[in-house]
Amino acid sequence: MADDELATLVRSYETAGHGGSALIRTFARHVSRCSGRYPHAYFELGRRDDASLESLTNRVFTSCARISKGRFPFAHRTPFLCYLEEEFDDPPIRHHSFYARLSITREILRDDYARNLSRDPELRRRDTIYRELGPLLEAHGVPHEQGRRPPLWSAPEAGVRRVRSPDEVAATLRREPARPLDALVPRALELLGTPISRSRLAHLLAEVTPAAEGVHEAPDATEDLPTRVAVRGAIQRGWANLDDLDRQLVVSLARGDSADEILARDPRLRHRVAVSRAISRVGTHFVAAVIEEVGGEAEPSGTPRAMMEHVIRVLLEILPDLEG
Amino acid sequence: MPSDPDTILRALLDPEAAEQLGEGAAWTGLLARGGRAVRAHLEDGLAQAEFEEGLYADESLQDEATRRLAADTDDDWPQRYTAGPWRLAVDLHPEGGVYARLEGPSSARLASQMLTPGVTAHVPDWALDGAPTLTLDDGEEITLRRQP
Repeated sequence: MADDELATLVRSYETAGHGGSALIRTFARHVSRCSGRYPHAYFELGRRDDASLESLTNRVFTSCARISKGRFPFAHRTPFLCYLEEEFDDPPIRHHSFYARLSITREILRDDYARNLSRDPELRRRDTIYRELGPLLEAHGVPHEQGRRPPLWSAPEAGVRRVRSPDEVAATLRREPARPLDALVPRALELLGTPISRSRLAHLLAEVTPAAEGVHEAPDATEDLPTRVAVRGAIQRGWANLDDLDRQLVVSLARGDSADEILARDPRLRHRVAVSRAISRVGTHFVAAVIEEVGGEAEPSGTPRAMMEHVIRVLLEILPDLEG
Repeated sequence: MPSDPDTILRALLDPEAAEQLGEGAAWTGLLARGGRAVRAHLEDGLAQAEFEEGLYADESLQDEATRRLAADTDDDWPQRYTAGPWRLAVDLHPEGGVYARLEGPSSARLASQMLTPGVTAHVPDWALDGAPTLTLDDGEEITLRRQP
């Protein structure tokens, strides 16, 4: 079969540990291609350049090689193992790794974008507008279901409307007197005359409301660097002292898995004595060590919530398993 | 240091109350509560919305057959059809079209493909458009019904 370059490389890598370099080079070609339309905000450090593409490629590869995915078609296998066991040839491998709407590459782009949304003041403003739009659209708009995609929203029906592009609507709104967001939403829907997604509406309204104040800072500049380094170091040391099952428990907790998900995934938690041991190691030794490292209160009841958020944020960044 | 398994399990099940249950349970509760807050924040944000919309996804780079294998359409397949003693099961083929497996008293033709009972064969996906029909050797046509 001609279209089996990826399948051959994956088989060689999974079964014999060979061909990793060639596989990464092939991945790099597809990652670059499928991320071509994404704006800078979707890339590590807010720039699409050679370094961010290389980092993205490496993380897509790592995700495919090492991280089990629960969803279809992976069924709690690593993608590479799934491709091998299902005897996929190149089209489905390319599809699930790169080009599908919910591909592994796009998952990682989403995560980088989410991190940038929390750090860049202008991006954060757009994310805030998006969140505020939820109840406003419920109040002023009509949803149009899109299957498994988020719904589109329009103004309530009122006869024939002229359809305007988002750029036209933004220009009109800029000419009109300034309004608060709850008044902008119905006016924008009325001017658009056609359904729009909540995310596109958020970007449109961000264009006609005051920009975030201050110079856009590089992502790391907004962090408390000494604290961040200390937390990162403490987490890495604590992580090294955990066994595999305890690591999985930390991953589950930091990822926000529900109790049902945690109990279903971890066979130890069916035995209550083992629960005590596991949580003791994870709760007392690992997390407490992190808090002590950065000078937090020794008493759990006195632990600032912000400190725990810091721990979670660092966990999300440094533990690849969290992406599962 | 926690010692009571029931206490620890309660911390996991109810992070909000965990601080009342002792030191180890409190750490666990904080981590679980923080993780759930982060997860909820991310799932309700702009990044997740644009991801689900497929914004910036260039659909011209996808081919039709594999696009239907995507994670968001997995529950459409396999499909099953029946008519009298005939049973037809079909599933997607990664390169396009579908695999079909016929069960019944004799061979029958589906579109251009002759199907033998118990043997899986590749058929074009348009064979299932509208009301798919089996044609027997004597020319009799049997319309298949999709099973839910």
